[in-house]
Amino acid sequence: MEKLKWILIDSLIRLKKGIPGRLRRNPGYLLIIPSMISVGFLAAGLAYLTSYSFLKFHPSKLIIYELTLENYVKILWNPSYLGVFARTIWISLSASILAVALGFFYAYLTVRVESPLVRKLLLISLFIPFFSGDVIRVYGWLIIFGKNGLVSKLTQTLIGRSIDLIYTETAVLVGLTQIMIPVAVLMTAPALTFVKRELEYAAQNLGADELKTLRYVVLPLCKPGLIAALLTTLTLSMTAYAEPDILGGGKANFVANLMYTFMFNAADYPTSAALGVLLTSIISIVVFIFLKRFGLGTLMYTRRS
Amino acid sequence: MRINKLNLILSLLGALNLILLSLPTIIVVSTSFTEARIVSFPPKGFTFKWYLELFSTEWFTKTFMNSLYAATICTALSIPIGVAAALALNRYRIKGVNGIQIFLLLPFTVPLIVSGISLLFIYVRLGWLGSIPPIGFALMIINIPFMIWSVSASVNSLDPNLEYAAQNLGAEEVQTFIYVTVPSLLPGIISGALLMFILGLTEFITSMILVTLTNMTLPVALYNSVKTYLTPVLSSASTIYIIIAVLTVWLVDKIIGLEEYMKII
Amino acid sequence: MTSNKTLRTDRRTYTKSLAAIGLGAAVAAAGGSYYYYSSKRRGEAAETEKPSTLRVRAWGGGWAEGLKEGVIQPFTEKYGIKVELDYTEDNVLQAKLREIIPAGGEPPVDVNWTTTTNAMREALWGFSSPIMEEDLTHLDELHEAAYPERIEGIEGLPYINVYSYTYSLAYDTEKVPEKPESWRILWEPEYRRSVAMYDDGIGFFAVLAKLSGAKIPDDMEPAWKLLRELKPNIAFVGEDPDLTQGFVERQVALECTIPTNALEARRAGAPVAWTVPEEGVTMENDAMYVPRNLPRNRDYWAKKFIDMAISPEGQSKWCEYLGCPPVNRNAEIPDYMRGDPAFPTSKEDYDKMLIIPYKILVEHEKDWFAKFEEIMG
Repeated sequence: MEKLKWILIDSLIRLKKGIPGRLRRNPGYLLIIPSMISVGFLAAGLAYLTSYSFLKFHPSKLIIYELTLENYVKILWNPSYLGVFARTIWISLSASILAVALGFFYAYLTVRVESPLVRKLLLISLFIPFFSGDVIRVYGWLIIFGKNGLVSKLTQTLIGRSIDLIYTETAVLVGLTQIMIPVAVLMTAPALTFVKRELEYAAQNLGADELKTLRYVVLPLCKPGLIAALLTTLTLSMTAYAEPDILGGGKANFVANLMYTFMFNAADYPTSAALGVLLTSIISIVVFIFLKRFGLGTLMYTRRS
Repeated sequence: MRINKLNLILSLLGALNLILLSLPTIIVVSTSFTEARIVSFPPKGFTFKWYLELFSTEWFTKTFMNSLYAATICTALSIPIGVAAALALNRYRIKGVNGIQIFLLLPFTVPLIVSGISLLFIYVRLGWLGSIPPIGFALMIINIPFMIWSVSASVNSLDPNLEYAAQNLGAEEVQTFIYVTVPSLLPGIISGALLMFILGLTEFITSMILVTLTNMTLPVALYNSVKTYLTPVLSSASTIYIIIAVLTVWLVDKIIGLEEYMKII
Repeated sequence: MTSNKTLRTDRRTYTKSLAAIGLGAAVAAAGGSYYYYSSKRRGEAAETEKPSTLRVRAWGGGWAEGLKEGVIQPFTEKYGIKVELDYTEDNVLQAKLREIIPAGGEPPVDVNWTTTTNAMREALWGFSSPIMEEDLTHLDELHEAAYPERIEGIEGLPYINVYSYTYSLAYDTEKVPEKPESWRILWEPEYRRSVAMYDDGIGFFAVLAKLSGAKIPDDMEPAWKLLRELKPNIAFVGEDPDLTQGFVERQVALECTIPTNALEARRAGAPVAWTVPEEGVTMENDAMYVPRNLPRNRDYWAKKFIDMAISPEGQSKWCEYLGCPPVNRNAEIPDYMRGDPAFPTSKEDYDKMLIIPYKILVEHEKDWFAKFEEIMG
């Protein structure tokens, strides 16, 4: 057994010696290749898709190979498509802010609570929905918001009138927020743990009450985590498909749903591709603004702590 | 905890969050036991018949196996690729690292539908339709940022002194890597791997576009059914997923501890 | 700042767990590849060698059940070939075929059961394997409605219509006590958020045109104007199962839908009825065809499957279940369909229907879908 191990290691060492010296000293370039190739598959397909956005669509011939910007013009001049973009941004923004706010408090509670049992409970309640997946949670909300669902029964008893929220923007907002909360918690928690308890005690010794401590000491220190959380949830929300589809009932479409319609129901790749390019551009701009304003280190993989 | 304004707010918000988070799960599980043919809450009666029906449907077992296989491939691929990328990004200086990072975030910034279609274009030309491994590959691609993120956290908290020590004691680079570096990265690797597995198991949007009958995965079959037949069988299928989630949470707790997991990802 | 939270373990456990993970992965890989290769279909087969299964794209729920009982069961009994159903949405499959067939690849299904409009489109794109007279034994028993409009340059039939259906006015009998006479009832203020229809507006365009005086296909503006006025009354727009569910959950009062969904809702206990208002209803068909690039034997047996679907026995049970009038003249017409204009079965019935020629549908339907979704969503 030991012999096998050494044979393996020796062969790896021999392999390593075969790599040119410059690369060996800075293996970063070599190491990054597998991931670049993998994502490259996606990028290649995206490039292909993007190229469609500049071609003309024809209902029976499908694609006319003429370069044109008409797809983009068609979208930008159309108030109802713009409305879909507006709705996507506005609901995503609301859901993200809500999720980060709620998530931050949840994370704070989890980190600060003294009883390990309560903390366990909080964490379990967080992770189980997170691990069950999108469809399940959306399905659950579908039942809750439905005509004979929980919400309708509750309002029936409380107000005497059954309000059913299914297939409305509100339903999508709630569903989306719930799905984003675990993400927000997971992104703010690490930042929170770096805030030493002593700092809070120090502030309180100097006379600040709990709330002031939170506002002036903890929050600023957690800023990187909060920013990261906001950006992540925003990105994830803007690209959502299942939540607006199932909870919105076709009346609260996001851009992704619109793309689906054009791509599959209308067989119109050009318009769909143009929508995709516009959405990705918007998201990229948002990410870029965040990066510029708040710096790379807070968001990306490279965290110089 | 002392009774004061902050704690009150925290407790209230905590409770609200708890309810918000757990409500759909509880609803779904409870409706899976209803006697009635339609899904409604509260459930009427109590029966296991929907689970029986679920297990006797051929599509459930077959697609479940497919999903497990695809998720395993996704995870297995993500480990070497994610570790390599995390090391490359955090330890070594690469020119154009910002651009590379934005490139690697592509799976994030692109809607899953778009990813699905983009990969479809490529897969058709490669003839990769109809089998499971390419699906696993696709799952890995769209979720790889999570893995890189998770391992990066570990890479950043790695103490280089450990490796220097090992090399001072005469270990070769490869040995250092296997016996010192990797074990220190293990928390990040395991957190990331578990996350990749779960994400791979529950992904359905991209899969929906890529799968055919032969390699259908469970979430896609479930989604097709939600749009078709709203019977409690769906609730029972969903509950199976919730059970898997519970098992995974238990596993995470056993191996790393939930608290650590939260700080690591 | 390092928080070195390492694993709660020691070196021995570490190596053991590494070994365990490695072993597990190896087992999984072995099992997986065995599983994968054993389910992979391989090789050339003789022209009429029976495949073990045929793959048929189908809509789920009642549609699939009807197909299973009416067509699949007798087919499997007669030939011993099992049939697997693929529930991929017809539009999604169309997109896949668009990529696969021109590239010369093998289609993921043997029989595509889809809407006639889609079948016509896919045929125009050259995706279907032409059906010759010899392939189907029951061809001469079919109504003219079953025959597709001939396409130049393509020999044989690109697809076969397998049944017809109408987009009738279905209603909840408790919410709408009197049988509606006209489609205008949908616009009544008392039905706010109580109307449902298909998410792309299918089946409603001819009605809108008739009510608003619009001209198909040249001037649809009055139709769109009328549609905008309907919006406040819309509860939701969706697909067949949503429309059924809408009645079952007593969420909607009125729908523009095919009687099949109303039937399904009735089976689930909802008080539903349907009618053909004075303006008429749109009639369309669904079709089946065999995609190109299949191995010869699969192509052969796929056509045999379609033959079973248009045979009298196949049609009788299937169409009764679906609530769609059959296209085979010798098929039995269920009692509830007889005399009900929502189920056109005779030439007189057909003449009363609002029919938009498929060539126009292929050309314009997508635009109308887009416009409808734009107004609704």
